[in-house]
Amino acid sequence: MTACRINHLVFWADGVVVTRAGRAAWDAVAPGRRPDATTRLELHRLEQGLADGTLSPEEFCKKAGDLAGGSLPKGDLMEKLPNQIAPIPGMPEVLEELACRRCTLSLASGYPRQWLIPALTRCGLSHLLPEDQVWMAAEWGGFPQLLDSLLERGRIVPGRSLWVDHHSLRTAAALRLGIDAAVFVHVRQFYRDLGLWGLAPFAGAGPARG
Amino acid sequence: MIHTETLTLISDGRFHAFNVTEDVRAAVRTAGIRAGSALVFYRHTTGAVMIVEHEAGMLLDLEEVLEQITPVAHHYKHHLRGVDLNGAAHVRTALMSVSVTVPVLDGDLLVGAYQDIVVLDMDPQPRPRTVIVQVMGE
Repeated sequence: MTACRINHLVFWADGVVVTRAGRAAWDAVAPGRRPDATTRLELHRLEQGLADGTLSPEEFCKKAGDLAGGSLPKGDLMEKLPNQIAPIPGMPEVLEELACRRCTLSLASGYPRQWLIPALTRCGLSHLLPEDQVWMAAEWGGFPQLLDSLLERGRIVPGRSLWVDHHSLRTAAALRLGIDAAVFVHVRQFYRDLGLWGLAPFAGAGPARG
Repeated sequence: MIHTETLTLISDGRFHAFNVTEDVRAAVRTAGIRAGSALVFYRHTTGAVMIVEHEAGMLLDLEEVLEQITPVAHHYKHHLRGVDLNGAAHVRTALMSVSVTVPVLDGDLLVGAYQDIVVLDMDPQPRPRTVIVQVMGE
């Protein structure tokens, strides 16, 4: 197995490349407030509903607004939320570097297209992640179905594609299908991991491995 | 001095792993100690805390090993009460550890380059999980 066999990286957008939907919604409806654990769990469930298509963007906004006490007028969150989607600090630079290394970059996301594509443009990422390389989970029936479909259609190629995600259940699902996967924790660690995959200068100057 | 913090992890269960290394590091900074130790304690009975290389393949390997010795679809006596069906998670917790202690020196965690503090939630249900970080030293 050679390290440089990977030439395609698929990022789960939400929480790896850009802000997660629950966070974006909360920041729009309750700026400066920290959600309690129950609210965070509810926001997480709403994100999942949005990603698997059981919640429309309108329903997501209505429920997220209700969680925060309904302080925004109806419809405002639909307009405000996309503007809360921001790049994860350091990730644009990593993506640029990977693109320079002739890696193909793709995004999979729980966001609806109407929110994510303008956000990628606004964040200056659309030249790295063109729309035909951005796949919305809800358009494919949710997460496991998205992975199955991308594999079946040859958009993800085992042995060539690397699935990058902060969620261990999705990385495990990818690995079970024979797709290489990397856990994203933060940019510094991810950059180190890219070195281990042979995709970046190896930055590990610390103690020996193991 | 002793400084205690609570981390709340929003977990989907079923082997959801969380890397809390930076959270523990932040707790050490907040405590302001130069030397001592940091205890990381999972406050439930269906998960574990471990120091590992946080890597997707390793996590799946671990899950597969645990599935061989404690399969989720086994008839656990714990299920006889009819309260829940998380016998596998309880047995796995008993086999693993709900806490780790990491030395602190010069105000930072004395972990190796590839050592991460990972909390593993094996409960079948999604729910918030509580992790206590207690920093002791001077």
